[in-house]
Amino acid sequence: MSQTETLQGAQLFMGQTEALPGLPAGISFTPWLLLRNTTDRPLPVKITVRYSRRANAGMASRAKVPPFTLEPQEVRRINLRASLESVVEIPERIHAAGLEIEHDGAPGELVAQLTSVDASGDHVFDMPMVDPVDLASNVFNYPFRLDGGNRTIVVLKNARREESRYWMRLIYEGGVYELGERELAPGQTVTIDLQELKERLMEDINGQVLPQWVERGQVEWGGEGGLGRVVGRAIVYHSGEGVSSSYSCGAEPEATSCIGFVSGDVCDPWPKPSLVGVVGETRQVTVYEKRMSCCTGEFLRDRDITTSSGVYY
Amino acid sequence: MAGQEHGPDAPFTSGSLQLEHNGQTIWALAAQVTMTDTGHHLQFDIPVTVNQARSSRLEGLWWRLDPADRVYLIFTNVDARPLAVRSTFYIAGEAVMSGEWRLGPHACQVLDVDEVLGAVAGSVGQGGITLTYEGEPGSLLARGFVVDPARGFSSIF
Repeated sequence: MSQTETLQGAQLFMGQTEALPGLPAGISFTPWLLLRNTTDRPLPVKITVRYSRRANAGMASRAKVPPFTLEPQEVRRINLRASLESVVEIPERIHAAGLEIEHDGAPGELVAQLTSVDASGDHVFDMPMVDPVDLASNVFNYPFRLDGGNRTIVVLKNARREESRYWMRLIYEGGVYELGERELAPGQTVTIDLQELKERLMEDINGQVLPQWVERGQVEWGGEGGLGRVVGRAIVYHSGEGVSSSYSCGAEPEATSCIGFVSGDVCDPWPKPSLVGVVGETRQVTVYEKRMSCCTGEFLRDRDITTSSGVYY
Repeated sequence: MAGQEHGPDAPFTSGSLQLEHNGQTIWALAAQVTMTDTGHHLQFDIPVTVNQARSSRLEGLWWRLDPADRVYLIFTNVDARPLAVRSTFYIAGEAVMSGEWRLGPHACQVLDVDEVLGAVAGSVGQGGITLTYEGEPGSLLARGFVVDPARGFSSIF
């Protein structure tokens, strides 16, 4: 029985995009996909792009490149947009897009790279491809920069064909901005512009805004419900200087020290109050799920699970 | 790092970086090296990763969009012992060039792919690379760069 390997990438740029504010008007990207079959046998490949025209569009539209087979040791360069348009009409403006590459080989037998380039060649965005199965952690930290014309876009993709959830927070000197928990439709890619959060004074789940003086910090996010459900990265770019960086965690296939969370129930108020009372007395108890990173030992976040199913007290 | 002192051989033009920390786990520190030439709109990122290779073989690809693009392959011996490396370049599925390199302890080798392939490269836009070595898995790290300063194009592979 053959096993299918899937490589996933979050946010390729294809045509015009509103996901990169500050770039020259009308700039349009060509996504170049490079694939190498590292084996001495033919390797069938299937490519799917899931995209949304607008931010927060929910369920992604799907387009597929006609399946093909890479010859032994073949390296193929594909204009992904042109390949998709040979089959189906693709909108000129796409906000978010994720890439899925399936093959019948073993892990590592297909090497893939995607780079989006504008017509001038000055604006270049590399998109790392990951195998979600290899991800060793559910929690990821990236640096963010909002200084000197830099912008940071956080991109997350649901790697599953069912709904997934993620949470995110921004950690800066002296504070935390909690975006809270959000849903991702099957295959959906979302982009979060940190500069926009700051400029538009958007309140977090605690009613706090990101202070205007914040220029650097860490993005911390995690996927819910198991390893590899959500993949993501941070894109830091400077439109004037024509440079960009991508921050993501690579696959760490032999990691055993960091496989998710430990969690425990916590009562409010804490420490646990005495629940001894007289017969007939009613007490209100709020129950939090408290999560701690296996990586750092740090307590990450609390979640009110008082009304969640499966909670008993 | 350009402003740092580098000893009698300064300034350097290539090298490798090793970070050690005393965090609770190996994941407690994340790092990335970014090399920027803002004058030419060039930038290259090198993630600093925990080395957990399981094989003494590295597979990759090289590419360029424009004949003017220069392609470089950099590989580094992360061990304190010499390392023998064999490189094989593929074009159109065929192995077209092989070479052997002896890297000293912690030494770094920069290859200009056009110089290595010579006339074979021609106007070819992409190919495969295999690196094998005799040391322990993880002894060799490799990264590639594609660059054209004239149009501000830079990418990694």
